[in-house]
Amino acid sequence: MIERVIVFLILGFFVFDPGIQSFWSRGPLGWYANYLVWLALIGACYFSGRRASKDAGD
Amino acid sequence: MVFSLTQLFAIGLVYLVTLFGSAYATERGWLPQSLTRHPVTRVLSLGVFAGSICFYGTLGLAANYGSGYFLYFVGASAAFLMAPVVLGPLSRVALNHKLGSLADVFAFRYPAPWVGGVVSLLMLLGVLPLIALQIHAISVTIHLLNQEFSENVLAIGFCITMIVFAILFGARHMSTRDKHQGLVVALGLESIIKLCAFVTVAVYAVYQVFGGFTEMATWLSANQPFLDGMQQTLSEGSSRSLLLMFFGATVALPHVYHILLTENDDAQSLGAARWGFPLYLLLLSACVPLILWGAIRVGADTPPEFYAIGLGLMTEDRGLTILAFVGGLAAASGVLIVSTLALASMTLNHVLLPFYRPVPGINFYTLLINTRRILIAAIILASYGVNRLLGEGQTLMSLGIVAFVAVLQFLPGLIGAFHWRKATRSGFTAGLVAGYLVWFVSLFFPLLSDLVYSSLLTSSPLLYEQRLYEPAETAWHFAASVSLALNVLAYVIVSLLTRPTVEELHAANDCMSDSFARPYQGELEAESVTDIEASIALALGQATSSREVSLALAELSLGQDERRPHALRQIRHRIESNLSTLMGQTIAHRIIGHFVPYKAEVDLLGYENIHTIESRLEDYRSQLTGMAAELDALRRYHRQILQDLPTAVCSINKDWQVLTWNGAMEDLSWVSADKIVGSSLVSLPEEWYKLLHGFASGNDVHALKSVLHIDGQNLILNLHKASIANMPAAQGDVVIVIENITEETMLEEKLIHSERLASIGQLAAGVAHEIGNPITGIACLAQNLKIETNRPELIELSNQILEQTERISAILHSLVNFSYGGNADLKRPSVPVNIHQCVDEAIKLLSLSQVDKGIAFANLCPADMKVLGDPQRLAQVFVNILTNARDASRPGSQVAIEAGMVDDHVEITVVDQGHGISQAHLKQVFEPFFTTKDPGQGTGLGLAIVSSIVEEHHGSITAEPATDGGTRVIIKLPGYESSGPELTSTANS
Repeated sequence: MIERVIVFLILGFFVFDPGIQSFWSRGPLGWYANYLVWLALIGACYFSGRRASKDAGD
Repeated sequence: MVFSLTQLFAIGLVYLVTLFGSAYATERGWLPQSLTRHPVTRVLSLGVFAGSICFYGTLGLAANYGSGYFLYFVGASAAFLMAPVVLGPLSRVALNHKLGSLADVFAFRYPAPWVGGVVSLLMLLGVLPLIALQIHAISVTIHLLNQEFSENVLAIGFCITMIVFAILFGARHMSTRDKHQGLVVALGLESIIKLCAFVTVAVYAVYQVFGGFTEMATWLSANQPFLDGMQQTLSEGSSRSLLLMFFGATVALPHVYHILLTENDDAQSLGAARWGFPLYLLLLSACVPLILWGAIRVGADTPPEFYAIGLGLMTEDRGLTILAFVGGLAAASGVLIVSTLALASMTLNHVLLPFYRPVPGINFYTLLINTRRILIAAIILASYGVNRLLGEGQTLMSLGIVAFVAVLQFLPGLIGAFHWRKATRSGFTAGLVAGYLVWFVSLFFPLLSDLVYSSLLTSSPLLYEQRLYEPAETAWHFAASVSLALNVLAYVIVSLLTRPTVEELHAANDCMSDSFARPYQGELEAESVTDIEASIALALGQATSSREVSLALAELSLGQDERRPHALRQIRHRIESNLSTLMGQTIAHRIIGHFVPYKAEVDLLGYENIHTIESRLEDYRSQLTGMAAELDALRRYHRQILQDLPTAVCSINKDWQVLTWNGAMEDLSWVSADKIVGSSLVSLPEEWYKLLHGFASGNDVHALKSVLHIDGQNLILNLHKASIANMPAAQGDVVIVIENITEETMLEEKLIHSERLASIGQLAAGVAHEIGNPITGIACLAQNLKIETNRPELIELSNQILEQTERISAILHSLVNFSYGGNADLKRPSVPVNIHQCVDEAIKLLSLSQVDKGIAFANLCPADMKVLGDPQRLAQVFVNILTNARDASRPGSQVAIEAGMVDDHVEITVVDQGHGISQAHLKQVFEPFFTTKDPGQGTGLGLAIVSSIVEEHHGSITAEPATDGGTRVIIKLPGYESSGPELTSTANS
């Protein structure tokens, strides 16, 4: 499930860029808003990997 | 601030020697494996991707296009975050089939002799600008720090140093299949140095230049254009083109593949890289705006791309400048060394080796390593040539984009390889060539024409801006989108117009995400390992062939005497995989396909047998998830039921290959499933082969009481068979169920025998009774005759009659004894019986006999050994046995009676020195009426009575040839312990 969300988000970024980047950076978080979204994606990927290895271990 | 060339050379050399030292220490095992094989080390080694484009180019991109720099990092990260789309299947196939380069992958998926060569040459052409870029970046950097020499001279010096270190890092070993763990560790260290340098420069910018984040924010507020500049974005089309370029470059660049898959044998390492590598890029990316603003703040006078150096130069901080220089050197040298190694291997394997013919006396491995070294030097020098052609003011990013658009052309073929079964080699080649043509015309040729004719032509008006020979934003977009669109179009249309060959479909199956590796199912022409070795020797020479075969056998834990068809197939597959890492997939496949062929045209897409499917499921068990994992658990449950069935079950396919051999079958046949499953039926012991082959090929579905004579014993078996008709994968297979009824049959025979004995006993009792009376009458009359006459001849006659009647009485007595033997009602209470005394008594009784052959009876039984039983009947046992021993013994010989405790039984052994009993008679001696004595000398009931009495006492009796030629009779009776209170009381009563 998380995998699909990650792929979906990245594809969404590809389709809506650069508007989406511009939208984020003009928000309250400023120029580093992009980094926070990116960090969230990395976190999701980390938890997805952990879950997959746990399932494989079971 | 100026650095002398000696200083810069010394700094660079220290860095490179440190890097090489870490690699050397790893390969010598001086560094702990917990460090060198740690997932973090692998993730850091992937940082090699972030070369000069990252360290220098992104600053230029940020200065010109604001947040456009972000696309570089996001595009690269997306390749890992979206690993299930491309990198996941690529990693699985590459590691399974040991595909050492992207050219190997394409040659594997789109099998054709030319594919690997075309991919290698185009990749080399496309990546040369990227290597040239690294040389350019370092030569410019050194030139900024030292104005003594021209960039050209500095570039030459850098190239020569890099040639030496590239050979040291990657071409010291005999083959590429040896994983260079040292290279991985060195690149991990390089990534740390690069990150530390970049982060330090960024932190310096914030705290030393601005005085802190708050001050920086204040400055940005005061200088809104700079902040707005950072928020400025590219146009939609250009933005997507860049994103796609960086995504494609990460997937298809040779140095990323080399570190991710060639130097890696751990299938799990991609898991950590999926989040670790994007995190690494995020840290680098966060530094870009900080360094940019810091450099603008201090008014750095270098081109924006070199702001990391410019910041230190402007603030005259020598330490920071050196750190930035080392960081840039780390970024450039990493990409340069690894790209060169990867391209050298690809070119060697796919461009040069196809023309190789074995030359006697030349070591194949040495030839390979030397050629690779030459190629490394040639590629770096060619890159220098491209760099040499660059005009002044050329930006790094423009060169990088030329390379990235080239590499992007491999992306459609790569995605199609794992997600489109109908993709064909013709489609792939057409797409690639179309994309490259557009790339060459739109980017590469204008670049060259600008360089070559820069004095004559200002630039190509369509695609390049005149001021910096820099491809305009529209040019990236145009070149990338048109080349990619044509590439995809040609790929799809030609693939749809051409029919995939059987080999292509098989390769597609191997690459599809939902398929496992499917080895061929046919039978090899080679029938043994020796045959395979001899065949490969024809192509590679005897020494190379022996080495490769030994390596494959060791990796598969198989022996040199292996002949099983599936094992030979595994060996063939492993040798091909190993050779593909040594000389590329194309050549390896061609050599193995030609010299170790299958017997006939195999149905590559036909159904595989159950054994192969099961083996593969076992191999991939840990990778199954969700419903597949549940189905596998169900399969394993049913498999286990079959395995643990107490009835022997085996199944055989139409090619007489054994597919199933359960635990009971192993116990029955003494043939291990590991040995026979997957093998031909003919591998079984001859008796089993004849039985199973005969039954499986016959029409009968049941074969009852089949006798199998094996290892000196008869097994009596019921066989049943059923054909598996409804499963395509098991068409023609036969399941055979075997019941071992040997014990039941023996019990049945024993019962019949006992009934027969009981009948004989009853008959004997009746006969004894009916004959006894007339015999007594005859004896009385003979006695009377003897008394009534004085005639000597009549007295003699009557004596003979009496003698014969006594003999008849003795026989009758034996018959009566035998008939009573099995009658439990006549048993008397058991008491402790001293064996020594019992034997003594029997010897005394025997001494009363008239027969005297001078036989010495030695009673060696311990004086205190006792059994529980009837003393008189046990005495009869010994009388009968000793009588037989005496009759069989030679005059003057000895009969020894010994006894001892074996576990809880008393074992009494009677050994004579007579003529012995033949092997054929041994089993019959305890049968009633069986005798080897002359007619009239024995009734054949003595030992039968003994056996009956011993069995009554819950014991056993056996006879066997003695070592010195006589016979040894062994009686086992349950021992009696006098200390046991209950038994003692019973005995006393």
